[in-house]
Formats: sequence, C-alpha cells, structure tokens
Amino acid sequence: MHPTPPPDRRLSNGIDQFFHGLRDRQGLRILDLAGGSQANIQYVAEQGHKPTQDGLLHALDECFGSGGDFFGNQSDDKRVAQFCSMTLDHPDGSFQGILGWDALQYLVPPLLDDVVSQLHRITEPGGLLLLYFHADERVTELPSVTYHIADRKNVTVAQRGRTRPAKFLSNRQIEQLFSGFTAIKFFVTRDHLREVIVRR
Amino acid sequence: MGGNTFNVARLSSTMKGFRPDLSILPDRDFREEIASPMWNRRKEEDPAPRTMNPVPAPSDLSREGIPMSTLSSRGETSHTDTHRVASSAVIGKSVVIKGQIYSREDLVIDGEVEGSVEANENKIVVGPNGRVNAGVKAREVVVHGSIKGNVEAGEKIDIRREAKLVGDIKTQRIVIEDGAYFKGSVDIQRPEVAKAAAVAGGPGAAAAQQHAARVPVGGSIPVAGAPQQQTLNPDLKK
Repeated sequence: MHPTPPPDRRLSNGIDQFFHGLRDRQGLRILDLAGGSQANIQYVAEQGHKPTQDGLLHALDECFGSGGDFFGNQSDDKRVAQFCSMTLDHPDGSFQGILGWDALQYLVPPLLDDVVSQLHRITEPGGLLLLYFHADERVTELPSVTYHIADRKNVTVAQRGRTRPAKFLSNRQIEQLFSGFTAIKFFVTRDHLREVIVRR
Repeated sequence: MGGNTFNVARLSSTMKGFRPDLSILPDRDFREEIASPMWNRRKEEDPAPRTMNPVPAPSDLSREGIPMSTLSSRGETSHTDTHRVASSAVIGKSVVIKGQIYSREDLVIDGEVEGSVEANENKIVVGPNGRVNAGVKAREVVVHGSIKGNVEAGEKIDIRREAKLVGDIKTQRIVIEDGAYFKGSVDIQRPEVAKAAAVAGGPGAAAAQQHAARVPVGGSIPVAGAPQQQTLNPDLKK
C-alpha cells in the first residue's frame, strides 16, 4: 500500500490548446477517458460541449489486473474481448474531441495498436485527441493518477497508487503510433510528461 | 402481500420513539443517506425524551421475510413523526423485480431491479447492494450500487465512491465522488429549462421549448461542490 498524497496541480498547455482548437464550435461531443471526473464534466459543459465519460483505465484494471502479469494478460484473447466490450464501444465518428490523458501508457502491442485504431474510428475527421506520455526512462514505477481539469491551463492530479508503465515511447514512436491520423503536436513541459495533441 | 400489510401496520404502531440501529448497514455513507432525512429532523423539532422501542431497520425486514416493505403510515396511526419517518419504500437486498416500478414516495433499492423505475417527484437511492438494470427517472438519484440504464434526475444525481453507472444522464446537478465509475454522456439542463419541461403541455410549454433550443447545454452549470454562478472565461468565448 502506498499513501495517496493530496491532489497536485500542474500546468497543461495541452488542455489549453485542445479547447483552443475547438473554440469556434459549441455543442461538440467530448469523450473523457478518466471515467467519472466531476471536474472534467463541469469544465467541458461550461465550454458549451456535451461531455461523455468512459473509464478506459477502470476497464484495464478490471480485465487485466487480476491474476498473472498485467501486461501478459493483455495477450489473452478472452480478456481482450471483455476489455473491448467495456470501453470505446461507441459508434464511428462519435466525438469531436477525446481527452485520453496517459491511458495509452499502460497498454502493450498489439492491444495498444487496437486501441489507437478504436480512437481513430470513434473520432470525427478533424477531431482532436489529448494524450500524455511519461518520458523519464529511468523510472520503473509511475504514479497512477486521475487528471481533473482545474481551469483553462491547469489540471489537478489525484494519485491513486503507483504502477509500472508498459513502455516509454519516444517522439518518433508516438508519431508512428498515430501514423493514421492527420497531424500531431508535441508540447514541451518542465516535468517528464510529454503532452501530445493528435488531429484525426 | 397480506403478510406485508400486517407487518406494516405492526411497524407503524411501534414507530413511536423508534431510533433504529443503522450500524448494521454495511456502508457508512448509505447509513447516513437513509438516516438523515428521517431521523435528524425529528431531533430538531421534538426534543422531548421518548422511550426506546426498537424495531428492525429496513435491512432487517428483508431478512425476516419482508423483503419489500413500504414504511408508510397508511392510516393506522396519525402520529406526525410516523409520517415523517415513514417516507421511503425499501426494496430489500434479496428481492429481484422485473417490470415497471412507479413510486409516489422516496424509494430505496438495495435489491435487483430490471425494467424501469420512476419516482418523478421523489428521491431514489440505490443502496450498496442495489443492482438496477433499468431506466431511472426521479427528482433526485443517489447511487451507491450499480445502475445500467439511462438516468433522468430532475434536480440532482449523486454518484458515490463505490458506485458504478453505465448509461446516459440528464440532470441539473451532478456530483461524482472520486473512485466512482461512470460511463455515458451527461446532459446538464438549466433549471428554468427543466421546470419548463416539467410543465410541458401547459400554456407556456411551446415558448419554453423554444427557449430550451436556444440555451447551450453547458450555459450555466450548477455542479454541486462548485460555485453556483460561474461565468465563462471571456477568452474562451472569443
């Protein structure tokens, strides 16, 4: 058991740019993969958009967290089928924006590629994805957190525990992962969290 | 339901001075949820000491073979306390109901329900053992257990820490505790729009619908725990 420190706060240019990129439109459908964040629902609704929540991390924990190795379990067809039935099962082109946070950090291929394909499928052409990738290759364990939007440029970070990332991806690898998308933009941060906006 | 009627009468007649031991309920928040509207009010208004005459708590009733009970006074006694105490119907944790439920009083669901649940003017509490596979419509909804279905809460929905909700939500106010699982969309309705919808069919209904069409979904979001009047950041409106 690791003690859970109080929520921290960090600057996020990614959040700012994500909503800036959607600024001219209202009533957009925005998917949040945090799966139950009141702050995110509030913020998205305040921007005049329609928030939708989907707990990708919750589905990961539930489908791959029990028995055996978390990453090894991601190759188990039965578990993968359960995972696919729990999350990202939205109609094609459902969303104009997706807040993916650091969820992809805990997936290994081929499931990682499948999830990226699903994100591509459910995002409307021109839609945006916001993603975080940890970049410090020296660490063996990462805080497992939920991100809540505090305001236009800040998120609060509520730590739930600690976990091991699947793999650290370089900028080049991230570009390759999203090769089916139109554009990708990286944001420099002071900490070891890479912020990325991908345009479908 | 004859046995049930008998027991309700017996229950009503023994309600005077009833202060149940809710500690047997498994979840602290749920205990408070059940206890607060019923017991706290009397404490303020009626300071006179009363004799203790313990009666089983709602969860005990289900164990005793009265899994679904209406804790309402039905005329057996006119004691005002009893009316206040007896404002919730309880579906016990061993009960499975398939079909449509309409309630004109607050409803606590700690069992399994499949179909639809409506308590338009009242509050529905899904207890920690409650599993609702149905559309839910109420004035206020509190979720400790799980709901799979769309929820329409006229005033407020409160999704607690251990809750799991899969379905779309339509409400004026939403509270989600950290740790709760929610999958679905949220449609925040402005109070005046919701009121107009409630009187749909009345003389102002058409005008209200036109007004609703003009109001963006998130125009003013009275999300609980946040300031009631929030203005949009002017920079974002540009």
